[in-house]
Amino acid sequence: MLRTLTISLLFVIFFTYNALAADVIIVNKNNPIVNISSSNLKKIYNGNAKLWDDGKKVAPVDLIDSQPSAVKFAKTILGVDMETKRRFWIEKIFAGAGTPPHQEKDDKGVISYVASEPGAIGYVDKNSVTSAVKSVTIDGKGEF
Amino acid sequence: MKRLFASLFLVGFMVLMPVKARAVSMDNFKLHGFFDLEYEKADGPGHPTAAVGDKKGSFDQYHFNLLMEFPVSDKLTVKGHIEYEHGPQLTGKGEMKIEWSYLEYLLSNTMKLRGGIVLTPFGIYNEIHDATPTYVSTRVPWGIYKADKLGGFAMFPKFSTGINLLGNYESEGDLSLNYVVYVANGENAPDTKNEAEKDANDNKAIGGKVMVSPMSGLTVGASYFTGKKGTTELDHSAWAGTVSYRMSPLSLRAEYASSELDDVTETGWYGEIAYRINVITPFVRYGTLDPDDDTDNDEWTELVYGINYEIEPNFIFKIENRQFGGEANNSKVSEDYNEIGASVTVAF
Repeated sequence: MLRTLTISLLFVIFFTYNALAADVIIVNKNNPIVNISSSNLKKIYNGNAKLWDDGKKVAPVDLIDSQPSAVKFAKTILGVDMETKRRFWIEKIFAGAGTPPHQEKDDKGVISYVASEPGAIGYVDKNSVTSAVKSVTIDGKGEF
Repeated sequence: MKRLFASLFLVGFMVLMPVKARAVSMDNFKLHGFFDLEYEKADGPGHPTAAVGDKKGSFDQYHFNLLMEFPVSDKLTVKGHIEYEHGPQLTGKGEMKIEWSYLEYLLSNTMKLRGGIVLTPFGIYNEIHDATPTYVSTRVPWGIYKADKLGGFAMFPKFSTGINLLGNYESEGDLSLNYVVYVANGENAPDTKNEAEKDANDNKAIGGKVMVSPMSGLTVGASYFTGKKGTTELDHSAWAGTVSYRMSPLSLRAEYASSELDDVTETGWYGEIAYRINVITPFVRYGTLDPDDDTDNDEWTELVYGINYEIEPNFIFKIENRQFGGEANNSKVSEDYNEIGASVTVAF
């Protein structure tokens, strides 16, 4: 009885944690921005904004499609499901209109990329953020 | 002795003082492509003397296309797209060509310049006309995009060499807009000078396209082209209206186009619907072409229905049935016939 109760409680804690897991936007430490609007973030990840205000190249980094954060980002920021996102980029590539953001397989890879690439921007679980990168708010909020 | 000393000095200088060539970092070089293999079999020739339907049934290794991007700087990119069609050989079989090769310079986030060879911006399909992974059928709607094969004339030049100004605008809400305007060499007559190298006349073709999404999923657009064709400088103008609606799993597309070459006007249109169910997408399309508004009984029609099966992401099997109607006065398709088409296509 006690074992069943413990296992059940652990399941509840696990799924609640994942439901509440929050992601944050990170940029290279030399990037002066402290906030980004969700509409500008969408433009960056759709390939429609390629330069920061200072004229330097934007370098967005995405997580691979199998990552829950990638699914959440596509839904929350881009407003699409993963199939629509994939088809969007297939059409854009083969029309010569652009190529998708660089991809990393996990938060560690995203942080490493953002830390090393001057114009980079990415998203990770808030608990993954290190001092190698800088968190910025999105529409004034700390996480999404 | 002096010559030997001078030679050694020169060699030593070249070794110790290498000239730095500016090269593109391979970290940023991007290569994509697509490949397809098709099969077609018709039940009739479609024409009494010059068959357009393949009654034997044939496999066709249609496309092996490579697309490259070389980011030279933060604002400058060089792009190229090479196409190998139908297994080209040095003996003249098949076809190898540049689909596009241009430099692209970012003026701002909403505007960029392109210079070089491009696929003429017209309608939904011309800029992706060979990219079979991007559409549900094995073919683009021929009534607009291959009118020259159906008793009409090419509604607009497939390629343009010149300068394009293009960009996009997105509001804080759902409204977005993409635009392009261009000036180019225009069309030369077949078997004459290469338009990518020389203009056959001193007229420059101009045109443009705008696509507006007033709300999520809906896009309406318009395209326009005008120029003079060849050394005889025939007036050629074309326009098209486009509407598409995409809200997964439903996709709807429809276009209407009209083209006037000298004193002949042709019109074509199509409507297409597709509905994705897990990895299977059934679709149906109906289209027509009237190659000459002043000639009766020359219309061509198609009814295409089939399915896509996504074997794995970006690897698709397509199979479809095409019912073609050809009226007696059409010079290329004057008999009805049916055709089965199938293909596998891979995007990479």
